[in-house]
Amino acid sequence: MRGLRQLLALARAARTARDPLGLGLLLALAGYGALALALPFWPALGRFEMARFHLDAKPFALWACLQPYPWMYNFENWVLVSPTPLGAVAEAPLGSLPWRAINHQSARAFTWFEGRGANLGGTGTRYLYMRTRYRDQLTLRCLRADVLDPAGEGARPAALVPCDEDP
Amino acid sequence: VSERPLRLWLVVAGLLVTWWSRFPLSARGLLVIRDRPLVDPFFPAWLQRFDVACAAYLVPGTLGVLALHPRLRAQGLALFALGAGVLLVHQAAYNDASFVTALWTSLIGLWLWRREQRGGVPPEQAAAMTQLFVGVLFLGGLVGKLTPGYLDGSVFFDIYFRDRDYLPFRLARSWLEPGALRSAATVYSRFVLGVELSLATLPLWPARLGLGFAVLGLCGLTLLSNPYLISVVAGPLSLCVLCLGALRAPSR
Repeated sequence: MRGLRQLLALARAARTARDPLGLGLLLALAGYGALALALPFWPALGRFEMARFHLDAKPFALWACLQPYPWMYNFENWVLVSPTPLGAVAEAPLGSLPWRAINHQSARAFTWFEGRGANLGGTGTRYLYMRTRYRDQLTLRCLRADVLDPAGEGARPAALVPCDEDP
Repeated sequence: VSERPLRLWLVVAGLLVTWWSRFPLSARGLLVIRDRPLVDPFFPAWLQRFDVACAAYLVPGTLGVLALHPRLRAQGLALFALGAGVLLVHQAAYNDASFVTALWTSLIGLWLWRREQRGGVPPEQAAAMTQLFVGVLFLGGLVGKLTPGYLDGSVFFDIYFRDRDYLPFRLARSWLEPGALRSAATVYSRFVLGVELSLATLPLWPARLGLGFAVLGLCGLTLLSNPYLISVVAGPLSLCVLCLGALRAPSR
């Protein structure tokens, strides 16, 4: 517990010595630590954090506030990229479709450069199915990327939309 | 307060390792992002821009070297914090955990610099802040893994053991039969959870013992996983080494 005593001494020193950066860091770290401890017991928080990996956690400002939270290798995440819509993937057993396990931030299969290189080449429509599980909670989402000749004449960027929205 | 000034250049070096070890990936990545832009209603328009990603990555990665000089340390650390903060919410880089640790490392580095300017920081307090940071880092990792797929090892089996071309997993595949490989994934997963649990309690540990264990844990997890983790652990590792050095120095 010597460590804890030092931590309390640091907090007291930060409060009395006009050290707003130190105090802010302590409060922020304590806040993120408290969120982590609450995660297994607060289903709404679990849903929000899983939705974060699917880029479905709104508002953006709240999503951004949670980005410094240590989310590495959180949850069980699978992704599936398909050139055609797959219909009701939620009902299909996991092994019946070629889901790929991914460590975190599932939507990166379309947003990160490796994902863009592997999945958004050429033209056409691609579907990204994301499946995330934490304990007894399961979250599914589908994003659609319409790739419209990004390198050609009059190039237009690919558009990323939820699968149930019009292009 | 320590007799010797804190070796804050270690923090700058750690951040430079983070940035530069990402370079082969990031340079290639920036080109792909330029060639394949993606319009996405989730991110604000400025956080989808190629030039913003370029600036947030390249400016700290180059001008950050100046922070090795004591007079430019605060500006350099602020640059790293700004770059990491932008990359962490940018469409093209938000998924890179390196910038989570880089953001915290640069902010703690700035705090240490500021305390040094105001008469010095007791090494025990610098250690307490670092231990809290590393503890929260692993607490977040641990709690998110308290789910059946990590407890039975199936997640690590699918991500690493099945076909990833990193040395520990290549060796495991060549040494073990398929059934034993699956069991090894379970042992590996539970070992990782155990190490993360120990590191999550770091704020409660005596400073030297805790920081020494953190150095061992950060290096061990990198060696047993993949070399890309160097960019994630370099920042926290530099803070731990700085604090261990300060705790050894005579006090005034």
